[in-house]
Amino acid sequence: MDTVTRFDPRISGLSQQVKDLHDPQLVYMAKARDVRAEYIDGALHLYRHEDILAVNKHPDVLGNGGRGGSFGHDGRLIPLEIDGPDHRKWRRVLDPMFSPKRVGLMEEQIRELARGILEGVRADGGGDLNDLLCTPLPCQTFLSLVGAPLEDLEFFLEFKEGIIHPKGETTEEIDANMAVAGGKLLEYFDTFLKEKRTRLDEYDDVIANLMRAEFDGEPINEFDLINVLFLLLFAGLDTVTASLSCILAWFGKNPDRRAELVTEPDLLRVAIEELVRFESPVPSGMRYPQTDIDLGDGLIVPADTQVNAFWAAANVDPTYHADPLRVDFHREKLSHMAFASGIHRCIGSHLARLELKVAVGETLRILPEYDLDLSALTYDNVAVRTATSIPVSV
Amino acid sequence: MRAKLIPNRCVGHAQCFAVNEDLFPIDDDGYSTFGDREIGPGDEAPIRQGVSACPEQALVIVE
Repeated sequence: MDTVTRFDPRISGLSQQVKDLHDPQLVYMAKARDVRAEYIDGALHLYRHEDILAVNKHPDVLGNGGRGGSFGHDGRLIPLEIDGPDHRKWRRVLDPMFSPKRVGLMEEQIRELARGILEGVRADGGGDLNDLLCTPLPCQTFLSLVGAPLEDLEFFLEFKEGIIHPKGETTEEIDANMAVAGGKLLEYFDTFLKEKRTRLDEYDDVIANLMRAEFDGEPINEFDLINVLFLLLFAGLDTVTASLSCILAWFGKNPDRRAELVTEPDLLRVAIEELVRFESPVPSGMRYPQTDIDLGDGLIVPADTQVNAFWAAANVDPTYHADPLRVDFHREKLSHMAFASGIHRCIGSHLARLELKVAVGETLRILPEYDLDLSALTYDNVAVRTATSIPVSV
Repeated sequence: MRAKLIPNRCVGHAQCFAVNEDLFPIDDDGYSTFGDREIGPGDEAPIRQGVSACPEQALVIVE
């Protein structure tokens, strides 16, 4: 493959080598330790924390949209795939809607939802935690924050499956299948937004706030509005599900470590940071330097290189993190990149942290000794690492 | 010990705030308002943890 071909992390690169591994961290750690950087399928894979940080901080580096849009949607997704002043303008509008203080208002609502689900699992003697908790809890929370109707949950779940886990073996097949899922959402929003606009005063949610927002005295046009909602929905519906699934699977595999937290719930906050570092549900992102970048010790990233920044490897990089394969509930240095780095850092990270803290805390309280059927545990590490099946008995 | 924020480096991860909400204040958008501060002896350990939690190296210790 020559370097002109656009790199597609869904079908190429390191992700394909770790596709369904239970412990890709072993591969990632060895890559960071021994390899540092390598070209796979035409993309320069970066594995070390300091290198990735330097690239992300550099002013002449474009984000995921540096070579155009993706994800089955025409144009670049806002704000993930745009850069420069336009990106800053959008983040200024969006950041407060997802800030720690704003999402913090949802804590009790999330806790009640988690309790209801988990008490049901306890009464039933167990079940698959992915289906029963990891999927519905973040999705309901997210739809409520964004202001999309909960009764359409199934529709949104089908949409995000079509976008994040599209069927197909080639970029063309995958994009065609994504476009179908994307088309359905556009059709849905066309009707939904018109209706919402007629009763805008009744709502205080992300969609309503975006409808009221202005750039230089002009409201956001319908096209951009649908664009940003498209991204928020598929990103928000999948990633917390994936993260929570990985963490609950990890506790199932490490019952002695789980017992530590059951005894000392104050460690939960650091434990969540450690587990998102170790599991790194979103394994990598694309970056496109517009100029040569010298990373030192002979590593120069030439302008126009497609860089696949491997957050998941940086997070277990032994040249940066001490004893990186140990999940340490007392770790001092918590500067992981599980939510990416630089100006494109995950806008939903604060909501994710809150949901993980509440959902994991309630699980440890209500099902402190759940027994995971290890033979039925499966992972999918492409695009977003997910424990796809977590059957437990209690 | 002193610690300070290099403001244009903060991109709003709020990982400092996640470590300690009282010692690492943020604004309504989620960005650090840490400023430049003298740290009392009792706060040195949590300040070090919060500073080292920043993935952007936006918070620094000035000895």
